[in-house]
Amino acid sequence: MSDPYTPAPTFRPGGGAKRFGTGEKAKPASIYNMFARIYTHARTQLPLLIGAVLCVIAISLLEFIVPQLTRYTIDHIIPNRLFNKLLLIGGGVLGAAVALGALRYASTSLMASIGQRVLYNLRNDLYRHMQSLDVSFFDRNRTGDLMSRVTNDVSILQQMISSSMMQLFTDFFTFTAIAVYMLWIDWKLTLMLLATFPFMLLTTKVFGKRMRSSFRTVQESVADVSDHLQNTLTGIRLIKAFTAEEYESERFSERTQKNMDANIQVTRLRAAYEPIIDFLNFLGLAIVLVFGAWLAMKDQMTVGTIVAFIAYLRLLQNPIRHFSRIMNTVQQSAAAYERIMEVMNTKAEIVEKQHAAILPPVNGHIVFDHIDFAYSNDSTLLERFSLELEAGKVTALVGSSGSGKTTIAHLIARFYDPQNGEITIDGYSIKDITLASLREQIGIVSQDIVLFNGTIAENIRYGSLQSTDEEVMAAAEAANAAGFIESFPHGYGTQIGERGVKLSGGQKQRLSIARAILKNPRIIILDEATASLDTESEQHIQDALAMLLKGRTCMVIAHRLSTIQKADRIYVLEKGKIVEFGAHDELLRLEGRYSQLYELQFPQTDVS
Amino acid sequence: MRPAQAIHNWQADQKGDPGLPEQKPEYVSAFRTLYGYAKPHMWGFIGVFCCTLIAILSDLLQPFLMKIAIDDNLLSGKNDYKGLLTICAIYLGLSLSSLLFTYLQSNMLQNIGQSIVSRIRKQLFGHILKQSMRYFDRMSSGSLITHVSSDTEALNQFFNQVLLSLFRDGLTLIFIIVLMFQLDTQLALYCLILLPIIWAIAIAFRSFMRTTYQLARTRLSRLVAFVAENLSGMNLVQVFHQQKEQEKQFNERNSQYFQANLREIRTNVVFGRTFDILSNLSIAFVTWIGGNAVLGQHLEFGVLYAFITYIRQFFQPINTITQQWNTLQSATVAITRIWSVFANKPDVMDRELAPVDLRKEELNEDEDERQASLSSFSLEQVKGRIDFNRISFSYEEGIPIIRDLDLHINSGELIGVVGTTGAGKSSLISLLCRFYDVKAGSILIDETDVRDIPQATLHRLVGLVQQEPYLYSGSIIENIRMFDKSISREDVIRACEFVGADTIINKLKDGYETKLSERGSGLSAGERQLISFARIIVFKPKVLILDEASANLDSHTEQLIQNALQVVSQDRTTIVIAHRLSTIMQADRIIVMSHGEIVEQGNHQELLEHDGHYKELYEHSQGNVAV
Repeated sequence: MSDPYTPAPTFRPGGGAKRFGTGEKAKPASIYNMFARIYTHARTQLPLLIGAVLCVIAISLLEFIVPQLTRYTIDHIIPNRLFNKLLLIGGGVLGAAVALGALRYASTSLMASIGQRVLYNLRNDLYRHMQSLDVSFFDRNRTGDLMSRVTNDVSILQQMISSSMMQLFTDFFTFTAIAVYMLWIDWKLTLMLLATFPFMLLTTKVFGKRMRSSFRTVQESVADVSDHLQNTLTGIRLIKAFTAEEYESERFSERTQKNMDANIQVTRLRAAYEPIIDFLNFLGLAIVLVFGAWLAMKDQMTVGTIVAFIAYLRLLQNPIRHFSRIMNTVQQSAAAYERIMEVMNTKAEIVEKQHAAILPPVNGHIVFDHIDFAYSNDSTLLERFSLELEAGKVTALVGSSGSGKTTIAHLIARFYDPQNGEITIDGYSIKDITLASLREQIGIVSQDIVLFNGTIAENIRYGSLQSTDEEVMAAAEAANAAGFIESFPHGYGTQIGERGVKLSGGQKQRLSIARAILKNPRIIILDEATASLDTESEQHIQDALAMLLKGRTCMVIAHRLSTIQKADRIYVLEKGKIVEFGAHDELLRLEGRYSQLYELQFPQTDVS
Repeated sequence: MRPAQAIHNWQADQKGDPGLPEQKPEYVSAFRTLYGYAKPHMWGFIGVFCCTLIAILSDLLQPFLMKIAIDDNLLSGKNDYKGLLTICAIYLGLSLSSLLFTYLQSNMLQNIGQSIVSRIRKQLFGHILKQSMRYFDRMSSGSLITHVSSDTEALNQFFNQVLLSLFRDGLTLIFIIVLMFQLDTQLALYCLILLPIIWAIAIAFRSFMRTTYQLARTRLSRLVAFVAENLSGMNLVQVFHQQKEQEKQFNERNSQYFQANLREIRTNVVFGRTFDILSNLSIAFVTWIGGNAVLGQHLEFGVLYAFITYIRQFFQPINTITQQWNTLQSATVAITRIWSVFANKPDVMDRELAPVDLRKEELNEDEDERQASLSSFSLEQVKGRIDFNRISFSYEEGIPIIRDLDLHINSGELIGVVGTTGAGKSSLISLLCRFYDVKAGSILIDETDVRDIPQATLHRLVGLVQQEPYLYSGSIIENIRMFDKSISREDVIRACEFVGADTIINKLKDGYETKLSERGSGLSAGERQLISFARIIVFKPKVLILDEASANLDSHTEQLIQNALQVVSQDRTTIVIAHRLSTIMQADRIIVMSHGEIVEQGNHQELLEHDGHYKELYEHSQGNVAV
């Protein structure tokens, strides 16, 4: 093809420009694989499947009988003037028609429920699989792209399964039945007819491959378009502040243009393919006509046979014609299937060991033992890093941006695995225990707050669904959120999220703290939890946190030293290394990095 | 028809019958607008039409040829082998022309359809970007994405499938009817009885099909919304270990969609099969009537054969057209939705386009003044004096955010704004940047109302650094100069040196060419903020606003920004919003806000002596230190 697929440039700092997942190229899933997978899903509904097949066979038989009746009419009834039989034949055709209608309804319904069930399963599988993937997968992949795989690609597959599969199925049976019968009545004519088939197959093969790769480009460009949209809409304030609307529109145009070109390319292939198949079909018909006429003129064949033969020929050609129309859908689905499989074949890097133990309720003694960690190969973040968090104590990490504080928090929750070294909690290596039992005991409150569309109560209850309303309210109270929640007309039932009430950063943060309080974990990680709060609310939250932290192991990450002075031990990090540690007063006496930071932050002591 | 004019028409239509919620007029005018887009491609459409005509003719003449072959060559017993060969040759020729013209027709139509759709898509996107912030507060980003991507796609299908089918199948139908009459008028008249029956069936099914179709769409969009939300919050899902719960919710939505789909398919099947049965019934009918006629020697057998073939062919286009029903439905819905987006005018517009001032009697004087102030207004000469003249503002009726606020800022002044969450600090800034318009009062920059300054100029004039820096996919240098090629690389580097981002950037492997991703991952929050600060510096705004810009920064980065700020604020008006008093203690004047009003103002020392809100806040922050 003149326009080979070139991967859209993707920007992943540190991750290189790998197209998807771990960078290992997914095996191109063939059409065969696609149908095989559909079949494995369909096999679970064997009775339905058998029913559908029986219906299809019955349909093929009926399709076959109607021309027989026509032939009988021409060969016997008309020459012999059997008026009474004509009525019978009419009745026969009528009966066959009604039966055909009923059978077609039954078979389509059956196939639809099988096909939709397959899709239902596939969608569930895909979703479940995505959930099992680790955080680094979501770092690497653009949300817009993933979305388009889950929605767009699956619905393309759906289109094929719900509309084309049935046709494909029926056509296959009809084709085989008629071909066998024709061979039986006149193998010479049939073979002549079949002479065009190799050409058809060849055409299909040549076009099929190109169509699929073109469709792939189309689907990629659709993902690009929706990704760009998502980006723009999230950054709309900035775009407006910089009056970059024109520029954004231009960039959008480029992507739309690509989508348009890809679409046109697909049509070009399709527009050529279908007529070529049609033409080959007509060619076959012409051959039969000429040869059959010749035989009839030599009285080696009745005219009725030729007419019936031509009728069969049309029947035989219908499935082919249909198939050439469906080809398009099949190839499009194959491209969609490939993209779905790329996700399905991506293995989570972080997996539980087989027979992973369940972590019993812990005290929270956390040890980092000579950890090496890098997000990507070219920049090591932690090197032989060791750290101990005492159970029930508050440990604080301070340090400038990029010193690895958040990474350490993520390693405890096993969002990433270190390249070397081991992290243990109460002596259990976190690699040996189930992720569920680990994360159940960890609560993270971070600066990136995620709230879901839903009510305030639902958002607080997230993660501890069995808790009562009283508990939810108590948690909100503890997080100093009760005040503002109750000021809303609907209180805890207030809708938040895209369509709901707009909350300020501080309010959101207090909800997420309430959520963590309700979860009641053994280990708490506060990652810049109070950074975006105003002084007054921060003060309240500090009190709430003090209560929350009692008796738990806590790791506090903060820029602001005010937040962490109460910590039992403070670690000062610099480029992935611990440069100082101790309690607040000890560190101040050291007059090192910490006291330097302290000076920077509290110059007001001089003013007043 | 120009789109703007079309939208106007659309609105006029809306006004025409305000009491009727019936969607019909919307559809009609939406399609009329679509016609406006299609008009430039008139010649293309004519070309497609001609190609379709030829292709169909070639297709339809084939049974006719067969009839000749059967009646004249085979049944006549003349053994006219030559004639048969001629017919075959014509037959092949027809096939070839059908091939060629089908190809041309599909290609042309797709080209036209795609270029119309891509034009609409571009315009739609541009239109959405021009909307004011209030619009984005109101609309979920999910639905906007749907409008631009899926709805336009549905439009594309309209061109590719519906229009093609109407062209091709409609013409085929007409030709078949004509050919039938050609063959035998009586039989053809019998066949025409079919048309009202088909029409009645279609009408009977229509509303039923629409309901099932819409049910399936609604459930699909629920499913999609759910997935979108979960994908962006996957971190949280995993840390709260909610996979099971979310999966259950997903399954539930998935299974509802599954049910709706099944219903839709079943309805469609019943619809389609009804036509099938009808088709076979009519064949039986024709066989019987025609057979009798043949037996009675009134009809040639070949004619009957051709007739039966035509009846079969007659139902093919009808089937195809009815199969397009759903596509037509979704296209119609999509078109209306797209046009409702187009119809939305931004609340905030440049004055030239803004609606005429309501105070008509004062209009002329105002107009003159306005012209005078506008002509004296130029970007270079702005000093940076800002006046908030008794402004009021609210996002929603009844919940005032800013009440009658009066504030005057001299050029070159450094203003600190403090106050609790929800005091209206950020809203004040949004108004100055004209993300929203004030409800009452006015905001002047150098005596010119911000509403009189073109937004492009205003945003050049006022530089805003927000709490959450936003970076584009693209290189660092492009992120800083915002793709404005008139800013040289040297300027960018100088700005970065200035804010202290230079050393950080140079440490990266690709330096200024490092590609950033949408979320700027790979850089820490502080580094991202430094880059967005450098961006502001590069653009040399006359008024600089920092809205909680350093809240998320570590002390070191914050110090860098503080140092930079001191120099930058020398020759420009600067407004700093902060929770942390340490950031604003050096300000010339500190404004304390509470519930949308200014409760105190003065410098640090004065406010402390005043013993009010500020002192309280200050003690809070000191309290932290004391513990």
